[in-house]
Amino acid sequence: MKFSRDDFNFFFRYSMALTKDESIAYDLLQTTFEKWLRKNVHSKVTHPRQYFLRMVRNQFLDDLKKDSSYSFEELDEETNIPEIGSNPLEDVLIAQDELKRALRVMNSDERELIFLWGMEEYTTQEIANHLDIPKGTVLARLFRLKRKVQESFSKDRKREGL
Amino acid sequence: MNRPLKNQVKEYFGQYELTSNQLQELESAQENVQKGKIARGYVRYGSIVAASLIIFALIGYFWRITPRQMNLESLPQEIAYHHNKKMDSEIKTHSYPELKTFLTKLDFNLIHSKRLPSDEWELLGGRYCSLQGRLAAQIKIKNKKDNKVYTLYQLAIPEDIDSPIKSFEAYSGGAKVKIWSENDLLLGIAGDE
Repeated sequence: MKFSRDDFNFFFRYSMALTKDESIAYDLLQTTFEKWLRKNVHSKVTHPRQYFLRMVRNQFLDDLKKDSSYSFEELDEETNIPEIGSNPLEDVLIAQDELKRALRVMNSDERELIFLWGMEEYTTQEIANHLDIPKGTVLARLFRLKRKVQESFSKDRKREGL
Repeated sequence: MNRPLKNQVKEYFGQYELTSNQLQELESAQENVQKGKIARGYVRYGSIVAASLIIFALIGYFWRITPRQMNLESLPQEIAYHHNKKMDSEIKTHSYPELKTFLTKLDFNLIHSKRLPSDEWELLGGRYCSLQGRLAAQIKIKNKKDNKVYTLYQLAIPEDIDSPIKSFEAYSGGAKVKIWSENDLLLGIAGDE
């Protein structure tokens, strides 16, 4: 099994979502890919793409732990969320500039979440599987993310006098 | 322009692509590992084949150098079989001493059997042969009375045979075979019936 150029670009975009920086994203991708090749992982897994994505994530978290300047955010998983049947982000309308600004204030967890949902179109359950957390926690995070995005662009609109 | 968040996310992340150099770097790393695996596969396969060949060679060698237990009952059959092949002598000579000088690999000395006196039997020649997994001499002799050609076999009596070998006759494959022992050698003669 070999990864295609599309696969590599997809992994790169995911790395971008995590790191926000193109050169760091490429380093992350390269480091993970070296491990992938060295450990001959592809011959041992049934879903290589998903598995590699998890490897990228784990590598990113390992790198963060080594970086003493980084502090992990305590996530408030107890946030009260309204009863929602579908993904809370589905009805959000936004401009590209507003999204860019919102992404700047998001942490890596939030960028990863919005990438998996928006770019890769993962379902809530698939996101939960990938992040290895309960589905309810994913929904809570999506709800907080929606609030953050809305707050971000409402500030922008106020600033612009809209 | 406001659009659904999902569309904007796709547009935003979709703009990021690896450069062609970066893609080549990743692809060549992938290729090299694949080639390395194939090469390692060949090496592994070659090693297995080589090891198997060595094992087979060793088995063959030990099988060859380890003589089978002598089975006197089947010896006449084996002698008749060789006799019926009518193979030419590699050394044509009428002299036993001369024949000995050619069959140097034998681990025993050829004898001129008392049962086959020169006035009745004429030596024609000889060659190597294998009997019961042991190196033996296959000698062509002619009976001067009936002018028939017989095949005489000589081999060292194996160590696993303790008791003296009694002479006996047997018929096999249209040949009459006589077996006897003489001077620590086992002798057998086969002639067409």
